[in-house]
Amino acid sequence: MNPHTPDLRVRLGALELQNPVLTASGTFGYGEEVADLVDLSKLGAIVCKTVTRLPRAGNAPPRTCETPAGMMNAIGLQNVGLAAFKRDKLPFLRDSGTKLIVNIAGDSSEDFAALCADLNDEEGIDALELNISCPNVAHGLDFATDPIQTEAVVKACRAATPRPLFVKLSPNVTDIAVIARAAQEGGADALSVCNTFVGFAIDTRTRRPRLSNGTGGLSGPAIRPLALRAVWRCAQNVQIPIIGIGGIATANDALEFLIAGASAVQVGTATFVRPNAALEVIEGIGEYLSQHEIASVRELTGSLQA
Amino acid sequence: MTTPQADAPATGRRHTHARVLAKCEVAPRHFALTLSNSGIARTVRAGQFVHVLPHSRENEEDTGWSFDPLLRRAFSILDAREDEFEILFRVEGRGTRSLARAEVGEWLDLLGPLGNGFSLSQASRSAILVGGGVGVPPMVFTARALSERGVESQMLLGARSAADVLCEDKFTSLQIATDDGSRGHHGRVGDLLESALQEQLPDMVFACGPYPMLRAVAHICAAKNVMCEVSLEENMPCGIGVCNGCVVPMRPSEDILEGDDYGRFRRICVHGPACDARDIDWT
Ligand SMILES: Cc1cc2nc3c(=O)[nH]c(=O)nc-3n(C[C@H](O)[C@H](O)[C@H](O)COP(=O)(O)OP(=O)(O)OC[C@H]3O[C@@H](n4cnc5c(N)ncnc54)[C@H](O)[C@@H]3O)c2cc1C
Ligand SMILES: Cc1cc2nc3c(=O)[nH]c(=O)nc-3n(C[C@H](O)[C@H](O)[C@H](O)COP(=O)(O)O)c2cc1C
Ligand code: FES
Repeated sequence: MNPHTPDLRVRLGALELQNPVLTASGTFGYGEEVADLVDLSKLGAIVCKTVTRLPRAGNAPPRTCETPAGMMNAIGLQNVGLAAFKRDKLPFLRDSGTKLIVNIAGDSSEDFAALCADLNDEEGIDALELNISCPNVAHGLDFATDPIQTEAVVKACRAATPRPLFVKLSPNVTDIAVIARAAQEGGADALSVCNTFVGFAIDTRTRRPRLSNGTGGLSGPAIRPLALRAVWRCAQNVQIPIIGIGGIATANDALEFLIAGASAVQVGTATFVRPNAALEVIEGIGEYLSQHEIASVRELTGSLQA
Repeated sequence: MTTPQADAPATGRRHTHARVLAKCEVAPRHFALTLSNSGIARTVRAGQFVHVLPHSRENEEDTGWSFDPLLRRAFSILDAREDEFEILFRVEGRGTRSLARAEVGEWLDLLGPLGNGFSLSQASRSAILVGGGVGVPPMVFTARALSERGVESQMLLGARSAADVLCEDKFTSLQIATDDGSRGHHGRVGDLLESALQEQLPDMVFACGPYPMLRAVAHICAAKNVMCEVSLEENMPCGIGVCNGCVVPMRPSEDILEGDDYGRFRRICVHGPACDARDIDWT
């Protein structure tokens, strides 16, 4: 037995986290919704629901449906908008006891950059995550499927804020490595890999799509091997840290992503099933490190054996 | 217009376990489970629900989860006393098929109590309850809770046929309507509501059931200017307010934009499932 408690700290660019497990955007609200069920201070960081400049009502219901070992969603970025976010949501998040990563989405490079700049004066934001990959709004995927646009939007944001910038990539591309390199070129500090996979489901009784939006984003354990492969591919093609996302429900799932090259992970859909899924993952990673007498979680990153 | 109690915080909701104390097939493909959990049984209010993992387990500590079906399912509380509460469900799809395999002595993993519950205090003397299909169970709890407050209630129960009539022994004042006429009034439960409102107007109407039934009830109550709360259903991935999945469209109004449920859509796992029928966009 290793008598020392393992070191779970990780670094994402200039940002140091107490552990490598974050909550995924859109699956943890603004934190306050679950503060009675989850000890927020134990999380590596909270990534809050995507914020856009103006409030968005989102798509009509039904917005979700279950699929084999997963679910599809087409929320449509329902959010309070920048002004209400700053006024009503940020004060709570600032005092949550852990780091805060604000996820933002704009409709142009200029809009993305302006959102970054508009948050510069707000205290208590530790990094920004650029959602260039939402599949459920018109043009949501335009950035993340084009390396030129990806580089341009990251560059524009880079010029607008000194904060660490994480770029959230879409798996709905031919080769994610091309986009990953473009984001790195643009000045990203880390990559969040990945957003949901575009899917479709039909109710055979009515012959209608099961989601009002038609298509939706697939998440949950069903996508884990696909997301893991995307992370592995990115890790081989960029030097910046990667945050692995997709179907992570247990510590073992998270370990796979770390070994494939991720420096941290996000837990999304699993939180719907077990509100404390992220905390259970943290605990399990610690146990694994102790059992295997590994001093620091950082040693796992990219430790895949040939 | 705001829904009474809509912003009340969920009192004492928790992630917990309950042992299956009894299981009964109350009608074809309909099961009632009696579950032991004093935390929930002692705090739950009529109209609230629990969010249940469909797979049962042999012991409380077992946290290994099965990923398919993945998400929890919501079930209204049929009734609660001391350390026990009951749910009643119809076997519909993958989740309920799995839940129907739970055996006495096994454990269920659940979140609850969730949601706002009905605004019982809005009824000072009398109420009419309307329930259809698996919307009947929460009305059992509602009727008992009202009677404990000294409020008289009359239950109007809708079912497809005589075989699908649920919980009839649980109501003291009851009228039944069936789609095929095999029991009670041949027609819709809305017809029963219309004639009941001809006689006397109650303080409140509480309703739970399929969407078309709720819409009809809402229109009938609006025409008579009777306050009505409906308990709505939507797919609920999380049940705890974090995913924005379970929304229903609200009538455009200024305070809704200002409230926590920005925009046109309200999350009914927290600001529901009971909603003032006038707030809903029924179109
Ligand atoms: C607040 C709330 C309270 C609820 N309370 C109750 C309750 O007290 N009792 C109860 O029984 N249910 C209740 N429900 C519904 C319940 O949560 C489930 O959605 C329902 O039982 C279906 O789950 P499933 O896993 O069996 O179906 P799934 O496999 O999840 O099916 C998905 C959808 O398809 C429909 N569907 C699937 N198969 C069929 C089929 N063969 N025929 C017709 N429709 C089909 C289902 O209705 C469901 O909407 C409640 C829901 C909510 C939101
Ligand atoms: C209901 C739901 C809402 C989501 N909303 C957002 C969002 O607003 N912004 C974003 O960047 N990602 C959003 N996502 C994607 C998740 O952050 C995550 O990338 C994806 O779900 C894969 O991880 P998972 O399988 O662990 O859920 C959402 C996912 C779900 C299921
Ligand atoms: S079910 Fe997730 S917000 Fe209501």
